[in-house]
Amino acid sequence: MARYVWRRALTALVVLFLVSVISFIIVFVLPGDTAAAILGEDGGLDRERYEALRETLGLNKPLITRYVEWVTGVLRGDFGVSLRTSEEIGPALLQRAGPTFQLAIMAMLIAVAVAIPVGVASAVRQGTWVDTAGTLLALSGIATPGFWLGIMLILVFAVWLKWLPPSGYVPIWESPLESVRLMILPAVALATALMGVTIRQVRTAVIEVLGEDYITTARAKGVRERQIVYRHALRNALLPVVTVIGLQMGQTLAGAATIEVVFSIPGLGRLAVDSIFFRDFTMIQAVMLLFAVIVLASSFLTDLLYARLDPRIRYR
Amino acid sequence: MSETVAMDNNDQTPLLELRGLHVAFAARGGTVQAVDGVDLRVHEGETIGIVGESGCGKSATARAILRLLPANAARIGPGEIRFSGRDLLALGDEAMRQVRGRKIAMIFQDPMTSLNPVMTIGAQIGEALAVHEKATRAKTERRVVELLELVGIPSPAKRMHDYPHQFSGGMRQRAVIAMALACRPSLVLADEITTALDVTLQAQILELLKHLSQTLGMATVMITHDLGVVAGMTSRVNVMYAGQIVETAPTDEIFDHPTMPYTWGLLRSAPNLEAPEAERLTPIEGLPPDLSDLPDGCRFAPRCPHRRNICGESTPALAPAPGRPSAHLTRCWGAQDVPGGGWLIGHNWQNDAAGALVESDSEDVGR
Amino acid sequence: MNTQALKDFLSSPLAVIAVTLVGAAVFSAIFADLVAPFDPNKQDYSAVLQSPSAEHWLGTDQLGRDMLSRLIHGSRIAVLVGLTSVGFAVSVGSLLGLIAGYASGILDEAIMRLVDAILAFPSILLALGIMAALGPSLTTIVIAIAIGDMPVFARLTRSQVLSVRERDFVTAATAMGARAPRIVFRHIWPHVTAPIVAMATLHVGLAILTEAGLSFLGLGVQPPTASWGTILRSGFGYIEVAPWISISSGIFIFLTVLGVSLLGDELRRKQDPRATATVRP
Repeated sequence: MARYVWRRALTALVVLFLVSVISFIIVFVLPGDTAAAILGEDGGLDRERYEALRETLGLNKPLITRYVEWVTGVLRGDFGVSLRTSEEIGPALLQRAGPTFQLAIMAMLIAVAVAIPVGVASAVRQGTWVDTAGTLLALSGIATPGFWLGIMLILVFAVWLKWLPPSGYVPIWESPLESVRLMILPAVALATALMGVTIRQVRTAVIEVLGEDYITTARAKGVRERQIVYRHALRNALLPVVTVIGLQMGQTLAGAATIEVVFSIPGLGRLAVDSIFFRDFTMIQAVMLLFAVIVLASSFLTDLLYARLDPRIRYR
Repeated sequence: MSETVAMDNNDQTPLLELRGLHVAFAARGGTVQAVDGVDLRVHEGETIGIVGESGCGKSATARAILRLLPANAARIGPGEIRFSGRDLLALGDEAMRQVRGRKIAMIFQDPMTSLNPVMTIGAQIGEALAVHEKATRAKTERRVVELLELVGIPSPAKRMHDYPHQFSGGMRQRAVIAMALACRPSLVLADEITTALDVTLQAQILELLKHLSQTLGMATVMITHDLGVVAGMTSRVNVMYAGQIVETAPTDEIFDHPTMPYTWGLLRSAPNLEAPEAERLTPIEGLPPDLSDLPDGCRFAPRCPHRRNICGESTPALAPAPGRPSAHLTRCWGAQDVPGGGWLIGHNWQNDAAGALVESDSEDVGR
Repeated sequence: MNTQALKDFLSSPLAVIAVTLVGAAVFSAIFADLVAPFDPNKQDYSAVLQSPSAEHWLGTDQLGRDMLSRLIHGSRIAVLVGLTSVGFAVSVGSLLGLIAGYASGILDEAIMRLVDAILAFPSILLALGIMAALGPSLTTIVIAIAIGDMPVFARLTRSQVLSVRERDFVTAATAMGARAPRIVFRHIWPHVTAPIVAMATLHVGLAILTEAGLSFLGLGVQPPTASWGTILRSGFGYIEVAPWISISSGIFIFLTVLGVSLLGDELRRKQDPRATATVRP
């Protein structure tokens, strides 16, 4: 187990390095450079000011030196300063992470709460209309653009029924109930894709497990069909499902970008979109790195969780 | 001796009785008749054997008894499965579930796959108890320890908290047996329980099952492809081929006076540990027929070295073997005293064996 | 695919739905000019934000353009982006996967870690970053989506290659002295195509969704070109007065992606014997 963790951590470090390089480099493919972006279109004409700024920003140093400086800064928690708002990037990210995580976690809970019963029903009634309906629901979830569903939810619940405000965000520590209430529509909109993927995964896994010999053994013992599904099959089937949900974490967080725009939620996704519009290069770098690190960390944790859940790995 | 036991019990209602049992599977382009009119009787406390190659319908028969076949792919019937006088096929799902594990238990072939990998051994044995008997946790735990002790697992109180992968193959099969015995069933179906184990473990597990069924007074159906397994264990042997019983007789009788060529083939292919290395195994030539496309006449005829024209023309019935005790039935034209048949009555099959061996020896040399 | 195979395929109702939806999208993409009742970009200030009527079946937008015509023309962008981006992703990704799977060792390690690194960026975010770097245009959307999808096909191909590589016919070819490229393309590639086709089909749907998302954010196809995402973007501003703009464009996206996903699902089901009921006597 310990050896497994070490090897897994080592690969993750290599990937992490590559990720930081990609995040750093993507900014240099951008048209125009940071100095020009700060000065704006008119300032770019002033050659002297431009050169001076390049010097202070360290843009004249070789690329590798700048990468090393950036990475060492990031490792100390110093992401630099936003070109747009001049605020420290680190605290800004932290502040924006709250809403995004709340949204993603709520979406994940909704998705899993729907997906497990639907996926199990599809698997148990394989080949019947229940299965077909489950498959259609799963693919519909995948095929629905989340942001469009968000717009539709606003239309129905805010514009027509006026049950909920169309947008807004309250931090959960200020008013937990209100915060969750405001977050319900966006969370549903974000949940559909994950729900679709998870339904299919649960279905496949349960069908596979139901064909195992130990399920027949349990039936031969006289275990009730319901217990066979929930005690024997689901426990085994959830192992691969956990992996899929873990791997989808990153997609869900990033998928929040369009949802956050629709519902005016001040999260990381909207920050990314805004930074791109305002050519806030330092912020883009930081946001991309942050997302990739979250993805790597969640897949790493998923693997550990998997190992923890499966006694065959746990006791090795 | 076993013969008299069978005769005595004939007056009582058998514990389990199959009457003309049929099992069909849906398959690509039609149905496959896996079990085709099987009659079988098991009396209280009696151990019988069902022997045949894989695909002959013996496992399907066992699973049909417990109704463990997939409902969407298998059709059980026509026929009757009477257990303690009740027709199991007429029971509702809930009543059938009450029978499984409590009255009839089953032990499966592969102990590596028949235990749930994410539940402890103790939990899986305890589950069988919990399903049928409302007992307290402490009591269940005590029973689990007893059961593990009964099947010979050392330090059971500790090992019950292990997961299946922490057990060796033989220990797992012992645990599976403990699970089957948990509710003291009156009948145990043992489906190829030694096939996945190595030879030394096979003997141990068989000895254990024999000992337990004697002490607990359980009836047992041993299902195997290996006649060697049933020797010394069962009172009666049923030989199955292509979904039908082709020969049935008390165990000693079938070993001493087998009447038809398929049984001879099985006897030749049974591992005989006392025989010299080269003589041990002589597999039957060819493969069992495709059950969706059966040959006319006798189903074994295409592989039978003694076949005559009649064999390919009409189907022999399961009838008493002439000159043998009435409990000995055989399905073979050559073994039955009918016009055009009977050419194998009194035939010394062991002389064939020598011939067949020479043939297979020369093949071995060729390879 | 011969007629019998096609009949078998269409025996499932979901497959019929899939083929119908995909067929409709492809048809309207090819024949948009003939099918659309109006010029998608013709503005009519006397008919602004009209609700659906006999003349304008799906109403008009804020510039009086016919919604149905714009949505039909939008299918062009969707189909174009879906097919080309996945086409690029499959070509590059599969090539990398073939190399990694066949070469193994340090080359395999290098390719796969790079693939892992790209995969670490959520696809929409990577696309956003690339769009920012290259500037919004149809070509950059295709590139952005292709780069994001490439790792999926690299991984899939590699795993397929690894499972095929040890099979006898490959060993035989190697023993006969065939060169690596020949072994890879003549002997291995044909065995890995089926799962790749199924996966690629699913990803065409996802690519259409990504394009719509990027365009909705204003970082994709630029107006006045009719794309489902840009139509949704402008429609969002009129959600209270002209909800039909948002409703209809979303339904077009949904049905197209649903059709493509169903198609991919059915293709996979056909290959995977486990997906259908298996019967063993």
